[in-house]
Amino acid sequence: MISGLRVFAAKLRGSFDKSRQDGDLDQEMREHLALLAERFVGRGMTPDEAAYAARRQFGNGLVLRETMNEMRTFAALERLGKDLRYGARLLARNPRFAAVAFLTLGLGIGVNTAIFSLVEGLLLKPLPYRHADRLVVPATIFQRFNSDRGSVAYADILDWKAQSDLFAAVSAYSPGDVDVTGEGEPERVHVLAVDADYFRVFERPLLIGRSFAAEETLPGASRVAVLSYALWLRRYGGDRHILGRRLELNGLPCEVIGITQQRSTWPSEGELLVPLRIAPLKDKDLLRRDNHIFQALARLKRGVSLQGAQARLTVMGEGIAHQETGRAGTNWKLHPLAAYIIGPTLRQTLLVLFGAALFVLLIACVNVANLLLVRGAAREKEVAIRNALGAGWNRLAAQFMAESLLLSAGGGLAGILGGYWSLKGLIRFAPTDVPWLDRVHMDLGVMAFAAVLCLATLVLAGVVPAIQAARLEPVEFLREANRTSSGGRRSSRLRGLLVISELALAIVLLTGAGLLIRSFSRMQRIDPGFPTRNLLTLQISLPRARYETKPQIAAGFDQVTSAIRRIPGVLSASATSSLPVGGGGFYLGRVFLREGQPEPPATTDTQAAWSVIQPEYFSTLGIRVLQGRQFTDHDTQQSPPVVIISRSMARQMFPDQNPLGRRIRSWRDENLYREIVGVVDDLHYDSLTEKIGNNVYVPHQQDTWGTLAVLVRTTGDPKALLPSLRRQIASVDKRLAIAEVKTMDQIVAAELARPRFSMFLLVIFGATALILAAIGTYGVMAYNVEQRVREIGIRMALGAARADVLKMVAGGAARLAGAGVLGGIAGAAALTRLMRTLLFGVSPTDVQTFVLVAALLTLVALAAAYLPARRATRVDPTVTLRTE
Amino acid sequence: MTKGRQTDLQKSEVLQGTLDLMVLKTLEALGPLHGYGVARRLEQLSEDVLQLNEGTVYTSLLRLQHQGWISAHWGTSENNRKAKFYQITRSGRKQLARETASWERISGVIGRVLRLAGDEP
Repeated sequence: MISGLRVFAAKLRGSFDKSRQDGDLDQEMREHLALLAERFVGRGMTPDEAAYAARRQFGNGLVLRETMNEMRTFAALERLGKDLRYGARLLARNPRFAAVAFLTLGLGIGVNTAIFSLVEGLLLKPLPYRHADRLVVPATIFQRFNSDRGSVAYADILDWKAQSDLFAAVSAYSPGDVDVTGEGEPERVHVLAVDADYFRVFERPLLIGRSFAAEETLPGASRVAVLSYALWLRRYGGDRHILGRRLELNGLPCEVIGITQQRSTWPSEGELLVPLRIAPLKDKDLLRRDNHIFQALARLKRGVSLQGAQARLTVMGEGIAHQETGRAGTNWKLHPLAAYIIGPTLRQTLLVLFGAALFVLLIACVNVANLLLVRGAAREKEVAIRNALGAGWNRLAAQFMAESLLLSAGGGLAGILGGYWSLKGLIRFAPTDVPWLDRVHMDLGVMAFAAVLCLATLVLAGVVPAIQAARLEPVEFLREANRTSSGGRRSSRLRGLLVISELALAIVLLTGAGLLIRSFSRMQRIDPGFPTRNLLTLQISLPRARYETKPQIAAGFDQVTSAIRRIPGVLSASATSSLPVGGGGFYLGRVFLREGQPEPPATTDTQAAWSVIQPEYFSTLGIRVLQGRQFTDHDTQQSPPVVIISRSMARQMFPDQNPLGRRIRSWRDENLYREIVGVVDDLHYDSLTEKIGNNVYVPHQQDTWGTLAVLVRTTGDPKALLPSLRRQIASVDKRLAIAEVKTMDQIVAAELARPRFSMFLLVIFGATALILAAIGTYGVMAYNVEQRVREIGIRMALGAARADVLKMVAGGAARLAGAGVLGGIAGAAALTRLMRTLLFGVSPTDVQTFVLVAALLTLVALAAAYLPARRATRVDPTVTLRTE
Repeated sequence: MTKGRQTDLQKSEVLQGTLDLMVLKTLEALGPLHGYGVARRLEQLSEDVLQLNEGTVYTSLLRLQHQGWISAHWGTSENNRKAKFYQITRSGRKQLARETASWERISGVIGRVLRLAGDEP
């Protein structure tokens, strides 16, 4: 070790005064030879004989000098420098080749750095919270909904809090919105009602001030709030004297007691924290195990594994599911927070895209390897001669590798630049519901990844052609050249293999893209159940401070919608607790029983989504009333309770009977018998791609909510009416905040944004692959024809027809294409399974897609072979043979 | 040319460690010497058993220099010409002592083994 260091230091010194040391050695050698010669003369030789004998005894001076030189300096490095300069000259001499190679590799590496930036930012980077790996989200598994992310019951949270050997802290929270008034503009912000343990889950997240005391979470306590860092900066300019000041939340005064640190809590959209005011002992409904209305967050104790905690919870959850009828078919699931935020679909999408990007790079490498092979073949003569003159094949291969090194380094640079711009585009056009895009950057990790890719391309694209080109036996070359037939028979086989693998890779990518296209078009064809054009939605909350009683709230919303109806250009308007197609609002699943029906176990009951609506809801949305009537202004708190159900609900609860006039109740919730007055058509309620579920509608007058989504059907562009809408709403109450203004078309588009985005990316990758594969096939076929011009000339001179020649060349191409297509289909069949979760209504082995892609690729490959084949038929035998 | 060098290296490889040891011993015994002097001394001592290209003495000298076991300076030779003289250093003497001891041990062992093998009928 130490002696190695000494040699290194000596070499370092040697590298700097090389010429002086060379001079020294020369002088020593001359002196030595002179002394030897003198000695021989002394023994009676002539001076010439003596000089010769001296040189013999000394050995080869040139070799000695080179050996010593190598010992004294980093000769290998110097050689590399020389090779790089030589490679650069070669590339400069052939700018078209260089440009194609740089572009191809740049494309491959660029695509990968961009996608890897996403993967790193969304999947690999740790969360910004303290000891984030121990943060978990406990959720309910609902077997019947195929969901493991359900909200949880308060009694469950109390159970978890008792497991102090598993959890350092467990917190219940409930997200919502609140209107902040008082100082400044009225503004609606996302609020989190949290219990006192929330601040222990995040381990001291406060910048200044204090967290909630346990008694502040009791009903009737004085109102306090903690501001998030973001809200504090945005609305209060980071004023440190805000502590102790009073805000107005929904019109009620509330004291600021603390500010959180930047990015120290989750969910990060919660800008304001208020105490979750509950009195579980007083409220029996709150403690019911089937009342899943809370979210929970927990921190595992140090040293407790996720699996260990999950195992205990599973056993506990099984016991509860066994005892409580309302809990049959449920259990608990602990999600690591990072996995919970990203979700399995996004994760799968990213991994599929990452794999696709790697495929693009592979194809790019194959293409460049092909180009290098062709170039190597063109240099066969040079290599053969240098080889014959004694250059070792490893020395020659090193020189070829130097050229590839230049290519991959240049490609890497181009890729990082290209990747930077594509990443900007990706982030800009990414669906808005992708979390954490602000965490995605091209940072050191991405650069390191790009460097690894460069090395990989160097190996993949450079090594084989270098060995191939350098390992030429001069004899073999000369023999082949003499026979005047096609040169480099082995390399032509290798090139064929590369074309096959390139076509196969392209097929896999295109099949993936094709499946996404098909599933996206399926999604686009889904009928939401109503016309989405010219339909505007917005959310309004009536502050409890000014709208205290239920009749006041109901009247307030009636005033708002009737004011809107008076605007010219408005066809109709209504309001609902929750918009269709996952447009927003509160999704409330409830269980329903017919009158007289015994209470069944939870797994066989009839579930439906509960929506509170104003009159004219169905006519505004455009839903057909199949039986009975809509709600009217006469359905009030004083009139008999009524309900309207959806068609599939009617079919499920009253298979062969007329549901009108029958009574149902939402068991375990409202528990009030309501008379069915109407049956309406089905619609996609929760999301477009979910299968259609049951719906139950009740009049807002009879179940009054403080926050509703207003629906406005217009004659023309609904956005144009927005100013008059705001005026009309302000004429009812000028202190109402209007939030979430969206058209129904935007809501539907947002639903499809993610699948559209991943389809778009995969189509780009597929198209890139197709173009690269076409270029690669064309290049190889053209080269093959060029090599065989003489052979073809001879064949034609001997009587082969143009058709025969065409058949011969095209047949070669068809064999390559056939092998590539077969390999590709096998690969695609094996790999498309991995994207099952991204597909909608299409099987991963959709025959139509596979056939179409195979046909497309065969066509492209044959088209790429056609031009060279046609050139082959134009060979003029007399011209070719004359050049002999 | 490349191939020529390779065979040359192979030939000297066999000698390398031994040659270094002999050069070091020569410099210890005779004091500062130039390359020619070292070559003469080796020739004289080896009584023509060792045939070596005298040029390889210089690679040996360079190796020893790299390790810091000898130092070099320019001086004037017996017949008044400029020559580079090599001199053993303190760490060179220590190294020589170590190498000599281990050489004697190993050659002793090898000798015994060979004799034993030779005794077998």
